[in-house]
Amino acid sequence: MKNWFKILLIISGKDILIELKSKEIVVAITLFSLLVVSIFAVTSSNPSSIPAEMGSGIIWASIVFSGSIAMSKFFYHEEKNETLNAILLMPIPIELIFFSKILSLFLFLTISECLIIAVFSILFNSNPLSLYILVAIPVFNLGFSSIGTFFGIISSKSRSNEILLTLLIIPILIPLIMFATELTRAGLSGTGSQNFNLWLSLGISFDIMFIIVLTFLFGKIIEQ
Amino acid sequence: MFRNLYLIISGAAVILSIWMIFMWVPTEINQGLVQRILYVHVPFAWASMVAIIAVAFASLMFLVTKKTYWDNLAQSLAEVGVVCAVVMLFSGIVWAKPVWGIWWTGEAKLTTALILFLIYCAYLVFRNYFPPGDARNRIAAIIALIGAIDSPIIYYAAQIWQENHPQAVVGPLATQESSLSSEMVITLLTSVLAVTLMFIGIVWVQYQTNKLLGSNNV
Repeated sequence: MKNWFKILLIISGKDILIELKSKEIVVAITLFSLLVVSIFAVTSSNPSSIPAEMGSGIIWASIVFSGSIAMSKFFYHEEKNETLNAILLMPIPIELIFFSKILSLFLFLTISECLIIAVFSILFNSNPLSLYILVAIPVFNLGFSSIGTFFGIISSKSRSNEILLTLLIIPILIPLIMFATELTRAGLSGTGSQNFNLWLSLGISFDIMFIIVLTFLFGKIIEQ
Repeated sequence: MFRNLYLIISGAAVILSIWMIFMWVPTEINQGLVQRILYVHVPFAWASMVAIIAVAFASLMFLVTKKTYWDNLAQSLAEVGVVCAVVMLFSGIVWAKPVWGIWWTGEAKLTTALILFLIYCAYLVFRNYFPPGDARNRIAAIIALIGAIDSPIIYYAAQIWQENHPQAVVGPLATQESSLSSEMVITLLTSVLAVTLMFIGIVWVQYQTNKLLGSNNV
């Protein structure tokens, strides 16, 4: 068990080390999201007075689109350099590879989201940081990373992988996007969420269910 | 012989339902002529939902048995199902504007139908983008199954969302309950039968086409 955890950290550490050198994923997510947030800020006549619903929509729409584009880049390099095949040759359970990728993407997404939220609060003169968004971020990132890892590996083998990955993951992520948007809106408006427990149970069950199903299916797609 | 008989029966059912919709069924008092869209909307909604369940079932069978005909069937069902979903969404939007006063609302059934339509569009796009072969077929089956697993969660999420954000139904008839008369029920059932027969026929033609294309590795 302890060895498995060590292997998990080693594989994730490899991705983090590559990212520290190339700075490709975090920079791509952050810059693309900032671009989207800036467009909304520039096109809004008074960014300080936008409704909470719109604000939360802007934050999560930018994160989802930029995240899916960055994920395709992440797996494209794995495919191009055949590093995934090399990892697969290691005598370790295949699920560990899946979890290590989830861990790396989770980390990259969290860093990017912190930067996006900071810039959003400056451009829109509002404070989205609340207990609600602090709950929404890890739950959303866990689901996004697991679905992104699964479909990222699938789409890396196809032509037009960026389009394919975006098309595949966004409709499936809709319940999680609703969850994150609602909790962020609750934090931005200051009124709270009347169905907080329901949303939280939905978000957590979504994550648990998809991690179990995708872990089981990951072995099947890797066989190909 | 069977094919010709099927063609005659389904063709007759379609013609009969068109005649019933435009000539026979009385006009509904509250909604007026626009209510006749129901006789198109409901059968196509039924066909698209059946298609979604059938795609998931055929995909599961393909993963279990590895028989290519299940994969061909899943693809054919998805292709025809997506077209049915387009008719369902379009007819629903056209009906909602005069009756509800808005084109679209965040109602759970509407949101779920739209998202499922997008998932199955992604399924078909994937089949076109990915290199043909056994790997593509197996991954496509997995995508269809994930879509089916996701649908109850989408419906549940849309329901909670709806509770938080009350519907903006502002049309003059938004609060009026309307019940269907016996003629309307008969017309609706005839339309459902006609569309179901047409749906099965088109899926069968599409299945034969995909089988031929599959044998040529396209």
